Amino acid sequence: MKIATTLIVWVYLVTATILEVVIYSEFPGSTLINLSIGILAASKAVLIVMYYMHLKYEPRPIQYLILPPTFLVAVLILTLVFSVGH
Amino acid sequence: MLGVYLATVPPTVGIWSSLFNLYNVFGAIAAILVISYLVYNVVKYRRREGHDEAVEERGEEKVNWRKVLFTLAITSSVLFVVELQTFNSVPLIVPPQSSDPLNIGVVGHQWSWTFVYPNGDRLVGNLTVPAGRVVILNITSTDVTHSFAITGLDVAVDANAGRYNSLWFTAPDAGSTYTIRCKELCGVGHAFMTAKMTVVDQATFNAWIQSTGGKPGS
Amino acid sequence: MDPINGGQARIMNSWLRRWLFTTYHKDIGLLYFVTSLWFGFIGSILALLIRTQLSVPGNTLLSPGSYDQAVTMHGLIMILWFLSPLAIGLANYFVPTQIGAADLALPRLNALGYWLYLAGGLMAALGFFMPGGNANSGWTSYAPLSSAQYSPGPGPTFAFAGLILLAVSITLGSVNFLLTIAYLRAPGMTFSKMPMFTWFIAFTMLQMLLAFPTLISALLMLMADRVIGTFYFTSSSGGALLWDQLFWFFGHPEVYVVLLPAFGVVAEILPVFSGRHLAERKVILGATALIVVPLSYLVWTHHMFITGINLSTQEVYSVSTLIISLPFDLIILAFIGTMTRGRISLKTPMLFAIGSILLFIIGGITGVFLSSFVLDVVFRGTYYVVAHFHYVMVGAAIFGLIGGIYYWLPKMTGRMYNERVGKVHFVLSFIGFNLLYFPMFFLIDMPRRYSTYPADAGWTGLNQLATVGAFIFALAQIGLVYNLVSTVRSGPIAPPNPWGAETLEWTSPVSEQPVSTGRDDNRMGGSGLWDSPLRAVLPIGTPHQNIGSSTGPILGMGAGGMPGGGTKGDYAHGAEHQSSRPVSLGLAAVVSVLGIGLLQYWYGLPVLFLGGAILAWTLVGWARDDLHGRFSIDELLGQRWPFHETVKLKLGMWIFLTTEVVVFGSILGSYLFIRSQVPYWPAPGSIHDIPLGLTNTLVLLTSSLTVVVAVHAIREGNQRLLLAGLCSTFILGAVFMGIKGSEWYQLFHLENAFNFTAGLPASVYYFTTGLHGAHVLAGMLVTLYLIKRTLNGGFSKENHFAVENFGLYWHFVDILWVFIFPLFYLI
Repeated sequence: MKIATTLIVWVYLVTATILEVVIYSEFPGSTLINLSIGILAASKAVLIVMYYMHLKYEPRPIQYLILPPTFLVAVLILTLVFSVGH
Repeated sequence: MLGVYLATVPPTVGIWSSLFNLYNVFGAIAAILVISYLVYNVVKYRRREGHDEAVEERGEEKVNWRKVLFTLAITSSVLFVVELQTFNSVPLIVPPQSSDPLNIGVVGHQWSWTFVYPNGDRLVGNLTVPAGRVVILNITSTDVTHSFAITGLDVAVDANAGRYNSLWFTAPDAGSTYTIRCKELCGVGHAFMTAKMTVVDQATFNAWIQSTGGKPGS
Repeated sequence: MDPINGGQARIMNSWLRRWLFTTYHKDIGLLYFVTSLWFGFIGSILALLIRTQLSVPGNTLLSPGSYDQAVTMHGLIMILWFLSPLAIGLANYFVPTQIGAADLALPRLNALGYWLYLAGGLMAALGFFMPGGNANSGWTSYAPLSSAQYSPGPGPTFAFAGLILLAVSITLGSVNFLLTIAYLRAPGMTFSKMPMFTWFIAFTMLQMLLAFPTLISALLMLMADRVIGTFYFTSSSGGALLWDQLFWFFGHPEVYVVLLPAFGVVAEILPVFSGRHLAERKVILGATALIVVPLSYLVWTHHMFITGINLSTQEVYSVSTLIISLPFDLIILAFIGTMTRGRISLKTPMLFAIGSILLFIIGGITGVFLSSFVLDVVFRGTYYVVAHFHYVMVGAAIFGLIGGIYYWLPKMTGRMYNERVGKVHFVLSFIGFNLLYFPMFFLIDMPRRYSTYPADAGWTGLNQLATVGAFIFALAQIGLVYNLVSTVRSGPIAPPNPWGAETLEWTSPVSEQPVSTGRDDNRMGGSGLWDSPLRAVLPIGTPHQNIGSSTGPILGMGAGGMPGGGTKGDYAHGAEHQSSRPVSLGLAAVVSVLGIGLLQYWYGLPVLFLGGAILAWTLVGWARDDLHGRFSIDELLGQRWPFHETVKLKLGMWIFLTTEVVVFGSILGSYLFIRSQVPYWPAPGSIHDIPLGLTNTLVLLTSSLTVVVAVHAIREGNQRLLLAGLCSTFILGAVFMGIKGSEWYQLFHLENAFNFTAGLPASVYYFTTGLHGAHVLAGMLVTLYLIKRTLNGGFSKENHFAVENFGLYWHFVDILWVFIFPLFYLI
């Protein structure tokens, strides 16, 4: 991985973070806005995992390692939130 | 469908017992078959003194797919049948569309049950319901989690603080009594957290509820 | 000085050193084995108390309070301090030998796991002697009964903190075992040749890996509630349902964690004593790997059918629970099919294996009943459930594991047990067990955990049968104890491979001495080991002593005080394999937990500080060990499929991070659940300072950049840039913690103090950011170590994996904040 890639990722992380705050302060509160903030955060996480933790360059078995816990956490959260009420 | 039972068997009991019977039949057959297979093998192929003949080796690592699929097919059809019946028995936990249900609130607390009647009357440890009418209990707790169960009616649901869960039943026979118990460990009084349910006829119930109506506490 | 006594003192000293400081897998296996049997003994005494109390209606032998403690601790001790650790003991001893590894991948971590397990168990047992007694809210510790309000006092705090130690121990252990099985298999030991026990331990570890982190999170929240007064489980918004979900997300896989090692043992015993190969090995492995392990994580809500979750959730989880019975069907039929046309030798291990299968059939079928959410309305919380899970956990699991004890006893001790006593042990256990638990299937209307019952309830007869069965079952275990002791003392010398088994552990010499190269990686050298003739006594490692020698090398605890049965010299090889750090960390854990539990008294805080001091001293010592290469870790490239190009420690770090994903996933999930349940939440910006949060986010993101630069630098051999990168990371971490601290300070001094007890928004904020901050702090400590090591010239172009691994951890902590910032500041 080149040092330039590292810097580009960093610039994206910083920009996305500032964007999150801007989005919040311009249009606070709506579900759509919360969702887009969530997507921005997720995109940052993916970039960090892929480039800073160089998962992109790891062998397949390691790349797959991270999927089961992510999936389980998603199932846990969905069950938590949607099992109560209708 | 439930009409036949109504004379003597409460509808919830009818649903639960027939489902339980179905599971018991299939469960017993499965258990007997598999355990017999196990015992048969152990007895038949037991090593006997003086019969040390060589064992025919099994072809290693060869999967008998036909057997696997056959097993899966048999098991999943049995599971499908019983699960279908479970889904058909959902009326046990979903109150029926009744024209005139009686709603009673239930509050669990360490270590007794309080019943709140539509007229605002609160009774501790005694539930009186009219015979033959759909009764819906809305159950909550003021402290720890309890679990409200009426022995003999096959109904139960947890009582959580700040939330309401409901169950329904119809008790057919006036004059019968039931024991209400707590099914979730709730502290040292858990075993003693009982209440009595009395079934009376509708007229008696009306008279009773008017006689106590409006009186706070009891 | 009396030379004889002096000699004894030396032997004693060396004996103590061995068992306290050992990191050798067989020693630790024996420690687990013996300790778990002791906990099993305590759990059995509690069980007998329960059964005696219930033998007559209206009994007053135990007060309801004592009864609740007995029931609670019986469950916790039996499941978590007896069953799993017994399996882990056998796994420690036999997994490395079965795959031809000389030790586990990370021996010191293994030792640490044992000491944390023991520390946790001691704390849990200590709870009985505290004012107010021990935890009394059932092994499920349902909230809010387990809260400080309803279960006050240090006893429950000790028990829950002990549970945390245990869960941490198990999580570390699962990382270690998975790494070992992935990495340290001997040449030729492919996955397709791997013994069944090792396979099932691998499955078990996969279950532990992602199940226990949820327990850790839930318990940490519970401890925060109890100790600093947060409201995770005491408010009606999170409360009971939140605990139920988190607990059972752990609790259901835990059932398989208990069961699968026993299945592994049964799968070893059956073919050996039937004289046949295991039938449908691929089906058994495939069904377990593809269905049991993943699906076990997706059925937990069937424990919550009547808690008030909605109908569609009940239906979905009812179906998933049904599906998980299919693979077990295949496994059991394959087990039975293994015996077909065999020549079954009904020795004690085989009897217990058959018993295990038979009892599992009953436990499994009744499990299908419990998957029906309609039937569960009545079953839930009654003795029907008790009967079902004891058939699985005692019947299938303990019978299987006892079979394993008999099976491997000749290997572990070099001596044979008494077959007749073993058979009597089995027959009495089997009769006692069924008499104990089968009647409970008919106690459908008797709620669990009743401290007593009235005479007119109609439960007396069945309870009395169960009590008689309990005593038969308990007395039968004297057979096991007798066999263990007499085998160790005076059993006849066993041949190296008494059963004619074909797995690798039987090819090693009967009585081994620890092998050590003083390094963490002890992969067995040489090739073709697997292909060597069976039953050959291979010279592995150091020369071993004569099998027939009079000082029996028995269980390491035999006569003469010197375990291993040899002279002091025999064990000298192990000196480099010893480390005092794990036991010292265990001590730090005990003292710290004592302090936390006693915080309500004036001496709690000093004790906690003492614990912290021991912890700091140990960590510094551990770091110094590493700096001086006293216990260096081999950074070999992986050579076993599928991890060809991976560095061992990097793989370990990734496996560890999966557990961290679950820890924080369940914590953030709890936050989301609470948000979805609470009608009112303070608007973003009204409490938390967004510009400050933004600044902190940018600081942390930049610290990730500096770590990347550091890793990049050392890959090219640039030590100065590495140093600069590490120092910047440390400084940025310190800035982050500083800003965090000032934020907390300001919040505490708001007009309406936003402190720990200021309501749910404060609870989740302080808990989540606090735990994250602790992770940052830990990362900073590691940075200090790396800086010191860089200054010592400890890194080079070829040797820099520690920096990379730290980078993985640091970036992960960064990612956590990437989610925490918007969730707590912006939404």
